[in-house]
Order: sequence, then C-alpha cells, then structure tokens
Amino acid sequence: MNDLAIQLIDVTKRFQGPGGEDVLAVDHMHLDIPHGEFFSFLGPSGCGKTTTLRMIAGFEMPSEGQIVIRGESMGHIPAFKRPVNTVFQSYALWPHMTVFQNVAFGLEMAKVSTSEIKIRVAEALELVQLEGFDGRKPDQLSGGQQQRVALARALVQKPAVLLLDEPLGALDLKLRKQMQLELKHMQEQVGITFIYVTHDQEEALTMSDRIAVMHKGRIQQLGGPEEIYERPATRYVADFIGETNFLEGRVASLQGEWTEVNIGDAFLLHAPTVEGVTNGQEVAVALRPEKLTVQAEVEPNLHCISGTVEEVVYIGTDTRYIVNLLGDHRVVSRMQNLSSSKKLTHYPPGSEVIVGWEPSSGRILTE
Amino acid sequence: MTTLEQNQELAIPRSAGPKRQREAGGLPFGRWAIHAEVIFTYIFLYAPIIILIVFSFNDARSSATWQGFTLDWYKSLLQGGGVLGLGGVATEGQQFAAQGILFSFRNSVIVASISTMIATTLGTLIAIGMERFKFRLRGILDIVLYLPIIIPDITMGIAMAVFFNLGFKVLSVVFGINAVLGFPTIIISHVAFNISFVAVVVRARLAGMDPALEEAAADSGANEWQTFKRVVLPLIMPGILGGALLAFTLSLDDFVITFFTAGIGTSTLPLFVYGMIKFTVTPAINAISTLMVIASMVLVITSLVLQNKR
Ligand SMILES: Nc1ncnc2c1ncn2[C@@H]1O[C@H](COP(=O)(O)OP(=O)(O)O)[C@@H](O)[C@H]1O
Ligand SMILES: [Mg+2]
Repeated sequence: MNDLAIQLIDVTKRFQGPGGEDVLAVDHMHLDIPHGEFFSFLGPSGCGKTTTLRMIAGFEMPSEGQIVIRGESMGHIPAFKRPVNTVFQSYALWPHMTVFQNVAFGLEMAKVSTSEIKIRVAEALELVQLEGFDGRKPDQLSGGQQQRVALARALVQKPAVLLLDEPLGALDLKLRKQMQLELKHMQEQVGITFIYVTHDQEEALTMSDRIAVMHKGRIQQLGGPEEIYERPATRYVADFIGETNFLEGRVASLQGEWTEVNIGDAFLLHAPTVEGVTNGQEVAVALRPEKLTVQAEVEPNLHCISGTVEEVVYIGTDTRYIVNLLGDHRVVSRMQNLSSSKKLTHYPPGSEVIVGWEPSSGRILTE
Repeated sequence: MTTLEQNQELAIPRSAGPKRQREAGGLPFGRWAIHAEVIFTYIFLYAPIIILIVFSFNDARSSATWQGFTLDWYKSLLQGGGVLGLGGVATEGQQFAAQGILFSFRNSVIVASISTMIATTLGTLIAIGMERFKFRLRGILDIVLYLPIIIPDITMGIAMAVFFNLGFKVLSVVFGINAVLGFPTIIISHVAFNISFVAVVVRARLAGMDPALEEAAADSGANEWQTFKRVVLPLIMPGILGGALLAFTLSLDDFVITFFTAGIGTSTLPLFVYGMIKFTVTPAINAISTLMVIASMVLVITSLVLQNKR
C-alpha cells in the first residue's frame, strides 16, 4: 500500500452538459500508480485525461469514488493542501511576477526561510537550465523557456507527484522531441512520480514506464510502451497507437499456442492465441506495416500472400507500399531504405509481389 | 476622397450573384449616406465643444464674435472677478461668484473622491462574486447590475429623491432624527450608479483572466485569500483603477442625479455652473466648461488605457 503514489478507486466524474444533460467524462476508473513511475494517460481529445488529472490535483471533485495520494484519502481536501503540483498546458505563469518570484511563490506559501528559498530556486532553475533568468518577466521568455519555468515552479516544491497536462503541446516539433528526453532524464534524476497527459502516442511511448490508453472516460489498455504497441488489447488501441493493418476474418481452429484464422475465405493464417478467443469467433488480425515485407519470392517460415502493388510512396527513411492482397484486402507495408544504392522503386505500381510476415507478429483482436 | 472610393470599390466582390449586383448598383447613394452620417455625427458631437473651447479664449464679453486671444477668463476664475463681468476691481457679487466656483469645485472633488472609493470597493467585490461564483439568480443579478447604466439619469434622480424623502420620514418618525439632503445623499446616489460601471469594467478584466493562473496559485499552496491578494488583485488592478477613474469622471460630470439629491451648500460644480447661466452667460462659463471637458477627457483616456493594459 505504501509504495503507491496514487490510487484511483472507482472514480467517476459527471459534468452538466450545455443542455443540462449528463456528460460522463471519467467512467469508473480504477488505477494504482507506484512511486517513482513515469505514467502517461494517452487518448484523443475529450476522452477525459484532463479531468482525471484535475481530480488528482483537486481542481475537480469526483462524482463518485475516491482518490488516494500516498495512502491518504483526499476526500474533500482542497487543491492547496495536496502534495501534488501541476504543470499547466498554458504554463499559467503569473505575468506580474519575475521568474524568481514565480518559482519562489510556492516556497513562500510553505513558509520556507528566505535564505533557503534563494538556494532552492537557484537549484530548480539550474535543473531546468535557466540560470541567470531570475529577473525576467514571463513575457520576456520564449515558449520553451516559459515551459521550463513552469516546470521549475512545480518541481521546486518537491511534490510527491508531478502532474503534467500536455506540457509540450505548444512547442515546435524539434523542441518537443528534445524536451521529451529532458523530461525523462529529469524524472529519473529527481525520482518524483510523473503523471503525464498527452494525445501524442509517440510522446507517450518515448517517455513512459506505463501508459493508460483512454477512450470515452475508460482505460482501454494499461501497460508498458512495448506491450501497448506490440500487443494491443483492442482494435481501438491498435488503431490509435501507430499505423495498423486490420485483416478481418473468422477463427477457423484453435491449436494451442496458435490460432488459425480464415481471412474472408481468401487465405488462412496463423497468429498467436490470445486470451478469450473462441472457435468460429469474428476477429481481426492486426499487422504493423513495418512487420510486412514486400518481396519477389515466397520464403519459408513466413506467411506469404500474393498481391498487386497499388501505390509506392518514398518517405525518406522508409518506402511505403500499398498492396492489394488476394481477396481484395488492402495492406500497407513499410520497408526501411537500408541501402541507398538499391533502386528504391523496386516494385513499381502494378507489380505482382509477395507480402510476407512472421506469423508471431500478427495480433488477434476480439473487440 | 477618390482613394477612399476606390478602396471601397475593391471591397465589393465582383463575382457576386445578382442580388449583390443590385446592392452594388444602389451603392453610390449608400456610400454617400454613410460618409455624410459619419461627418454629421462628428460635427454635431464635437462642433459645440470646439466652439466652446475657442470662445473661452475670446477677448470679448459677448461670445458671438471673435475679438482676439486672451487668457483673462481663465485668470478670472481664480481671481476675484470675471464671472459676471470683465476686468476692474471685483465687486462683492463677483467675488462671491468666484468663491462659488472654487467652493463648488471643492464639493465636486469631495463627492467624487468618496463616492469613487466606495463604488470601486463594492463594484470590485460584486464583479468578483459574479464572475467567480456560480449561483442561482445570477442572471437576474446581471440585469439588476446593468440597470443603473441603462435607465435615464432623470429617472434615477427622481427615484433617489423619492427614496431619500421616504428615508427621512422614517428617520424622523421612528428615531426622531431630522435629516436633510446633503453630501451623504449625493454620495449615496453617486455610489449607486458608479458601482455598476466599476463592476462592468472589473468583470471584463476578470473574464479575460486565465483561470489556470488562480489554479496555479492554489496548486502552489496558496489559500483563497493568498491567491486573491498575490495573484488576482495585482492582475485586475488596471481594471480596478480604470473603473475608479471612470467613476470619478462620471461623478464629477454628473448633473441630473446630483440636482435631485444635493442640498443647500453642497452644490457641485455642474450645479453651480447651471445656476450661473441662469443669471448671465459670459466667456468665463466657457472657460470652466473647457476645463471640465479637458479633465474628463484626460481621466477617461487614462481609464481606457488602464483597462486595455495587458
Ligand atoms: N467543466 C466542464 N463542464 C462540462 N463538461 C466538461 C467540463 N470539463 C470537461 N468536460 C467534458 O468532459 C469530457 C472530457 O474532457 P477532458 O477531460 O478535458 O478531455 P481531454 O483532456 O482528454 O481532452 C469532454 O467531453 C468535455 O467536454
Ligand atoms: Mg485535455
């Protein structure tokens, strides 16, 4: 119990919609987050990520259920008494205060001595690489710098948990990538539990120890980045994270470790058996484009299906082939351009090719 | 003029359908009407004021013709004479008049200062209450708050007079106190209409504030009072000062409502000037009015600048 930073116990949040109807923002959520974890909520806009975070921070009260922080039930404990700090999406720096005053504010509220405030603010600004910016006002900083001040302001208070609501959303791509790594390092350095909200799957995969993929106020899948990507639990997750080919079919037979699936009576394929799958069930087999190779010859140990190349798109690191397989199943394959001497349009549109993949990279989805 | 017309023509989409065409065909007259409207509006608004200002420097007792530049009328406001006549040794009546100006000006400043302080405090609190707390009847309170802004001054003045009259009766019957119209009644009535203006201005400022700024303060461990003092108040201060200046100006300038609520010896400057012109109109009146116009403009512009401050 004590090694848990956050527990959500059957937490539900309803809002009044504009027409007076109920909006279910968070739907009976159960969640345990251990200390020191980098945890992400991932999902599209409106799936309840922010609401969940705001309930943990204390800006919203759950309609049902309870939130426990470090073993202590929060009940109606107001935001200003909770041992968590938030990095807001809009940064929410106080425009009338300098960088120093912004960062020092929380320590002042906690009645830390002036001399210690100086030391800790300096430390925090060093951590976010903003030494020497103490005297600036927020509007004299770039977006990235403001973001760092917001981070310093939250971290300086040594919270048990740091809540971050799409903190990199307003930054340009390059800065965002850099900050992702920095954030991850910072989190390892300070050892604080990070709860991170994002709609960017790549961001979540890059930084998180564990990810909760959310859909309509519910957690669809909870797991590490690899698990989420390689073994999506549902069609929704497979579709939301990365690109996926779905081959619709029906279970033909269960053979222990392997399940045989009949894809629209066009061909049979094998994929690892998943929990709960039954004979004759309608399923989809998910295949990531990078797991599919386009080749001329049939190869042993691979599932090989013939098809016609419809489109070839060169995208620098990869070439994308869109291939129409037997029985009119369109799939996307991504082949890395490993050697620049090879001709890139190896298989021009119209070529008859073989699409191959290892049977173990197929993922059976029952819902 | 030509460039203006050309520009306007550019704004008409040429490819628009037949309905557009018809509108475009009717435009030459419409365009003229719009120009004329703007021009006449400004003429009617500002011409009298400009004439007033020009003639406050006119070196003649009659204000009908221009006789040359002088500052005598301004000097006469401060020195003994001038309101009733120009130059020479001030008569007792002239001295009385000049004293009257200073005295009524002092009254105006007292009334405006006190009513502004009260209205600003109350107006700010109301603005915060309305903007930050959701409660039933908020919609009704909204309308109530706007009422003093939209109802005619004369209605407000009469209502105030009736209200005070009734109040005085109650005071004398129940408590045996005999109250009369005076500073307190003027100030109460000015507070009554100024609260609305302050509340509206401060509320606009609050509405434009990112709620996350307050949440960030709570997040940093500040309770509601600390959040208000350290974050909300400094951020809405330009709005509060802007509202206060607006209230001060409206109070200084008010004639109608003050007319119904002032008592003996508490005439404000506008009331006094009105009293004077019933005697006679001299360019000294122009000079006072010019000063009032300038003071009001400075205050209102400062107020607007503050309200729009980032
Ligand atoms: N204060 C609110 N009042 C009414 N509905 C809200 C409120 N906050 C959020 N919602 C609704 O709850 C749902 C989840 O919102 P949110 O948590 O902001 O999603 P996300 O952060 O994942 O984009 C949305 O449908 C949103 O419209
Ligand atoms: Mg959100």
